Amino acid sequence: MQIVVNGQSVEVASSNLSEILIQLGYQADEVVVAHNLAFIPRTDWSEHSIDEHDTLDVLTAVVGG
Amino acid sequence: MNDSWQVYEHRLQSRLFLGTAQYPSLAILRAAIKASGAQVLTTSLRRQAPSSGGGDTWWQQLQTLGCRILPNTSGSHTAKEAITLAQMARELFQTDWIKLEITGDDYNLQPNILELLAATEQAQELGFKVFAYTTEDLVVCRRLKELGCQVIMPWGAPIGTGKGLLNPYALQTLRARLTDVSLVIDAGIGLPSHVAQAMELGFDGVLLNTSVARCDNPEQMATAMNHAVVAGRLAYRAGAISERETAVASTPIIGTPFWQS
Repeated sequence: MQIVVNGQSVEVASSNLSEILIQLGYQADEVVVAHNLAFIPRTDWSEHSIDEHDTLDVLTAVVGG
Repeated sequence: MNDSWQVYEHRLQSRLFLGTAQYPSLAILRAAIKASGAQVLTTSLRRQAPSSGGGDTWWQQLQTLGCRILPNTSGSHTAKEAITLAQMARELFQTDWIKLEITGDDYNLQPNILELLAATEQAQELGFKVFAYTTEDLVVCRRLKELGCQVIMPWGAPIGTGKGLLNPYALQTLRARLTDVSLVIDAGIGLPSHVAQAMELGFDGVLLNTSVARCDNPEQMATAMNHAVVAGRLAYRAGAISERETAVASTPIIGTPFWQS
């Protein structure tokens, strides 16, 4: 199904958040995730489902002011 | 002289918070941090591109310096976005400290104080320790304090401008009216003299980034900023004289040579 990850349309094979992140090559301990602008704790990823056309924001640490 | 201060649950010796962005290299950043004496470093969150693997762990290297991490919500325009970013930052950086920074105008990056107040209230309920980046508006700052915010951070000038304290009267008023909350000048600092001015006004600390990171010698400027914080703070505690309109000789008048009455 098609979802939007960080603003880009992506084809994913699963609706499970953990599996999607693995498919996309993310390191679980280095990113955090929001689903449709809502924060999803890492402990919930394996139970969390994503629907067609949903949006994911996958963020990592950067320098800041 | 022991001049430590309480920042939520932590007691800090340094009154300088340092941003970690825009440095030429990680090595120069580390050198600047050490030279600044900062015990609090600001960080942020940004999108990680798919298929590129995880982000680097540069900030974990910084943690070896023993500094506290203060993530910001830079990039947010609404309270909802800021709260989501705060929650993400808490998980990633393992801290409940959050600098609520909500942009209200993309041209001068002025904080959106309406969204900030809403976000502060929600963040408090979620257990965050809020550092509120705001304008110098007294009524807004007082409301932030009433909401439980213990560190209020008015801007000196727009981010990255280096213009110093554009409204010293309002900042002085803030300090006079809000005596039992920590006030930190955040943004707009360009020179050590700006830092000293803020500290002389009685502010508890300063947060700066660009003035150190983008100068020719960040390590040297960080040292200068460190000294400026100390100098300004000492001057504030020493109690400055009041300005006078006319000259008053400092050398004794009695015994003035060659003087004929």
